[in-house]
Amino acid sequence: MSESIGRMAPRTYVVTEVASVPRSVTASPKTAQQAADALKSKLGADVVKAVEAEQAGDHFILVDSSKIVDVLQFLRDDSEFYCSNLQVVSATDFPVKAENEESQRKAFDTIEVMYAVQSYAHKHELRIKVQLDRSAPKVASVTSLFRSANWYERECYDLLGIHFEGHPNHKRILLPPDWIGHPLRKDYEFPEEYNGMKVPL
Amino acid sequence: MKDFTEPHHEEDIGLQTEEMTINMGPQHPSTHGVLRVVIKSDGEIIRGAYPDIGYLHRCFEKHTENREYIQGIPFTSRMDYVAAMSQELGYVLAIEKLLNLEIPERAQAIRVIISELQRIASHLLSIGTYGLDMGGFTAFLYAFRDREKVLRIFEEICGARLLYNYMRPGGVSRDLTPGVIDKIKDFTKYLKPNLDEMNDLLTNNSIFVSRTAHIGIMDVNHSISYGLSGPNLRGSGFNWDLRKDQPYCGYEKYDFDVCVGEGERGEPGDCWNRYYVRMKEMYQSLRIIEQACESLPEGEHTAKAPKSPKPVGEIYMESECPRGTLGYHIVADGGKKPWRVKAKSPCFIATSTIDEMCRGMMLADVVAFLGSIDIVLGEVDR
Repeated sequence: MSESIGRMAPRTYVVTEVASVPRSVTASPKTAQQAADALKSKLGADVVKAVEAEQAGDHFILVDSSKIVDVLQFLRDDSEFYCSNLQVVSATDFPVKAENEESQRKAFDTIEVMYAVQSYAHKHELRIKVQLDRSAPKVASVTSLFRSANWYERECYDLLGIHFEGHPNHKRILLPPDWIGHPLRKDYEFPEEYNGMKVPL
Repeated sequence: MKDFTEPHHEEDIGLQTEEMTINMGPQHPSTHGVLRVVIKSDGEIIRGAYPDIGYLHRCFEKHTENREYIQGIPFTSRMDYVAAMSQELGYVLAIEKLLNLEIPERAQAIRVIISELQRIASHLLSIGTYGLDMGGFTAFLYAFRDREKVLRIFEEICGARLLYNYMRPGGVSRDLTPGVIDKIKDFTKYLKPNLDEMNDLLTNNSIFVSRTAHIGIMDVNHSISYGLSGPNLRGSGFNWDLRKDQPYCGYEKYDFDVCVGEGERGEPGDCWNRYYVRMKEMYQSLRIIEQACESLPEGEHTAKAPKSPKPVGEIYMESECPRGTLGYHIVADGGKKPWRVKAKSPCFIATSTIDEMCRGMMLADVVAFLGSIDIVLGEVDR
């Protein structure tokens, strides 16, 4: 049926450019350190702040939060990396440490956003991190690179209150639109009632 | 003069159509849970479909922050409640990697058997209900009859039919009961002819094929840009399976094929191919189970792991669940409770494709598309 019949509403969201995914490349997995070096040489030395090696678990590349779109675009399109899959966008709240806490965490008074990317061609996974100001956390949206970022970022906004600049549909996703606060902040206070209903704890 | 006996478009006879908003769900049988899709339709054509989720949000991430690591396991099984074993497995795998635990061979083999049985149970449910959506009632009954046998086996192993709480960091909570291996072997022999029967009922059924072939086509690049995984990605013809590409739990020891959509009917990426990948995967799961049962080593069913682990570190780790790759991001700070647990759910991202995929579709095909991406709303909302 022809398009002219319905009065079709224009698309409200940014149509993401689809990167073609090469599969014929011979796999050469890269480590986090190699990725950090490549980022430094291509995008400038001050883009990468640190490569954090945890005692157990993954290696994280801490990058400048204003350059996150460039970093992910480079990792997606460069033939050495081809990180075509954004696995997850996950954020963590690190408030100021209480005095008597046993916790060994390092970063204080910041919100960390972790972007996990994966390459199907080279079979490596990289973890990119940015640190944001806790009082007004904001970072550029990567929806122009990956379609999956759309809902991941909405979820981060909903639960941690991070503002993603340039996001086409910056709304809550899991909680009701009139919910107050962002529950995964560590200083979140549970409401006693919601729209006149008692909230069970 | 116009011939009005011929099929015509509305514009030919000057009929004005008006855009209509239809609420599909949250209580709609073919949304497989409490998914609400607000559909803007122009006659039979979809002009926009906006999924509204959150009805099953049970605050998994907030709950796990306030409990010890082990106490998080029952919450993971309540995410995807029809594939609970696989969900628990992903969670304990991440904790084990933080603790740097060596898992005994027997525990790994038990995990492989269990998670492949779970894959069969989950795919049977998916295929059965998909047949029901497409108007084939018989396949649904047959699928549930066979799934029941898997649930009986699980009930014997861990005492529960749906929400198991069976995996532990280091292994599994108890060893296989005596004689259950024979029952599993009997089940594999029993299921094969039944799967062939299901193929006759659905796969090559011309009504089913015409409802699903060439419908809801998602090409490989779009699937990857959306981050789809599991049968949804493989249905587009992309060969990627974590069990093969990044093996865990000793999957590299078993001989099996990765099933991709090859377009025997329709074309790769359409509803029929996504469905048929699941069908083919069940045969492969049976192969893995047979090999694992034959070579099941003796020994411990769990490693010596602390009852209340206190790992330090941060990890994001994925495993291959029936519905795709499920990832856990755990920030561990050395305390008894995790600082942060985030679950990346494959269904969440499959739901986000609905808007773009459904535009331009016929209204009846939305049901075909929703069934073929096989979402479980417990995992979407967590």
